[in-house]
Amino acid sequence: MYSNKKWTLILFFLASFFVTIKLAAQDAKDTISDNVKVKGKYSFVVYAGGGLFQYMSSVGSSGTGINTSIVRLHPTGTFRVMWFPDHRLRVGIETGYNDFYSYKLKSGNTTGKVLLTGIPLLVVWSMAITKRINVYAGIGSYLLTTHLNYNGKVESKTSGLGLNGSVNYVQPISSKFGISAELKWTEVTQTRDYGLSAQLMLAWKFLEW
Amino acid sequence: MKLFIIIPLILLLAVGCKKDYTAPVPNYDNWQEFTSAGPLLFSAASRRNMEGIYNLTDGVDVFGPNTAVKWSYVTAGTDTTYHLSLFFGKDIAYIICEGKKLNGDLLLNGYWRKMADTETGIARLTVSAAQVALLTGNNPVIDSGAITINGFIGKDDGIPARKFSCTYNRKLYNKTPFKIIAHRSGGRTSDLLPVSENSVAMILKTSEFGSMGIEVDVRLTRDGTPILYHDNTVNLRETQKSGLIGPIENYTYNQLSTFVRLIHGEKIPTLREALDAVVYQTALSFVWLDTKVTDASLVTVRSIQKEYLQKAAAAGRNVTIVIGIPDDKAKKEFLSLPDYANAPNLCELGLEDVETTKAEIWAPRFTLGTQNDDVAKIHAEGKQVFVWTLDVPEFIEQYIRDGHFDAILSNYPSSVAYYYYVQQ
Repeated sequence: MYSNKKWTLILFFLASFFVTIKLAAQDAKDTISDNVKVKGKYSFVVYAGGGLFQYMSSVGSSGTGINTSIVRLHPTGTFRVMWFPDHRLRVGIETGYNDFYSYKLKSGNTTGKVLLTGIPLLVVWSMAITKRINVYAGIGSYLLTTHLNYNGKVESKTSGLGLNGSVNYVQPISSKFGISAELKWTEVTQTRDYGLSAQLMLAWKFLEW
Repeated sequence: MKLFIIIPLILLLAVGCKKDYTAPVPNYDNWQEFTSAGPLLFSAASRRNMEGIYNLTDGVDVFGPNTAVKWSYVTAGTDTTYHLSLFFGKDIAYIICEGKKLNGDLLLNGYWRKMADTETGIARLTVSAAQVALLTGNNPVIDSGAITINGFIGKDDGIPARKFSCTYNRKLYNKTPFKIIAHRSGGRTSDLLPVSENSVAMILKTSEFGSMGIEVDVRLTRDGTPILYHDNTVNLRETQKSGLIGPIENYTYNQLSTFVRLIHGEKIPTLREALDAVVYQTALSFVWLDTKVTDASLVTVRSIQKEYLQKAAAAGRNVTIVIGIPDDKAKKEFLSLPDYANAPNLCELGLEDVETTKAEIWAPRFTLGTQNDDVAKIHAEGKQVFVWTLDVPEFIEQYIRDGHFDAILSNYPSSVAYYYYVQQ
């Protein structure tokens, strides 16, 4: 079942990727005359920032009592490096940190704490839809970690296929820096963990040629 | 640009519209006559006399031409609950009913399900007092046509309105000793059963599906407690979402017991809890410990095996508990047990490994065929051969007809039960 969904998602992103490439190529062709090839500017831009993540999936084990104490709002952070070529489609990599959800559970005299965190490692494509508004789509893997503290501490890890999609607005503050406000959907498909985050990021064009 | 939006949207719709399959057991608790009926108080002989192959006169289009009818029971303290199961050849269907008596009539209240899909519904059946009277005694002659199970079946939670009836034809086949072994303690969660795989609830239910024994998956927690769990990680296939992920061996039993529940809400059972249920609450006679333990902690499993063989004997139960040896690594660990020669085991490897491990049972996978020559060799040594894991009804029928196996391991014990019992 998960395998089918995984392949559907991969197909979805591959299809998006190729359609975008084709459109970007078309756009480039439209702006270049048949005889003159003009190379535009290339650059690398790094985005770093953070905000709040709202966990939106269901959690709960019947009979354990964990349903009543779930904390769904947690801080989140993003670090992304994008390559801006001289056409619309950009590509990059993204990582960061997500606290998905946490809860406390009292059993007898002992209180247990559980926190599920994730570190994404995604390939991200983006495209400007207006001068300052961009859309992003990423796919890759999330390294998930359970932090359990109940009669001993446990850190248990697994990885799962995941994706994200976001839209941001970038306000330039100099020729190399900008401030970005971003709304992002994050989903780890394998473990059905998903939610929405709002983040403020600093954008820095650190290399241009 | 439009294409860029339309294609992903179509693909997103395709992802988002995944059908969620369910087959909940219908609510059959509102049959008033059944609620007011008294306990079954059916002797073991009467239950045995009623068992047999029945020919359907109503409901053939739903279930096929005939059915194998078999009683099972579970106990809880001093209470015993009896269930009558009807196994069909069509679509791996079954009817499972609890039995009670009212004015001498036998009332059977329960549900039907097709394992080949998600069809289910309520079943309300009766056997008249006059016919119930024929079932008394140790070996009464019951003529073909003497007993009729009549009633109605419904669809999902709907009130049963469709006629169902079947008539006794002959006794169940039992000429060769044969065991029906259920996989993952009774069946897989993915088959939309009402209880979770590898749970005590499943062990208590599996006899209703025709099982005579079970295979269970044994893993060890971080603190060395043997538990029943199939996969190597805590995941959403087997458990509800708890925030605990990663290898199950990372957690102590206390942590798992406090935070994790199986898909239908049961606790992950310890091996001891599972064997307690087998020995003291069911009529199951065989347990295959499919150990995922490939280190020195197999000693713990062996000591529990020994303990429960003794407990079963003390309780007057003839229960066989074997340690499964699925691969060379497990074989090496098994052979390092100080008393391996006395440890009942089941070897899934080659014939020479059966000798090495001193296994009483050889368990080849079904994809190797019926292997009648090798089976005969093992039988000649006084050992048994179990084949696994047969789920396709056509293969089950073929292996029962053409093979000489002593047991079949299946996720669909009801299908094995049907094809075994209908033999002439």
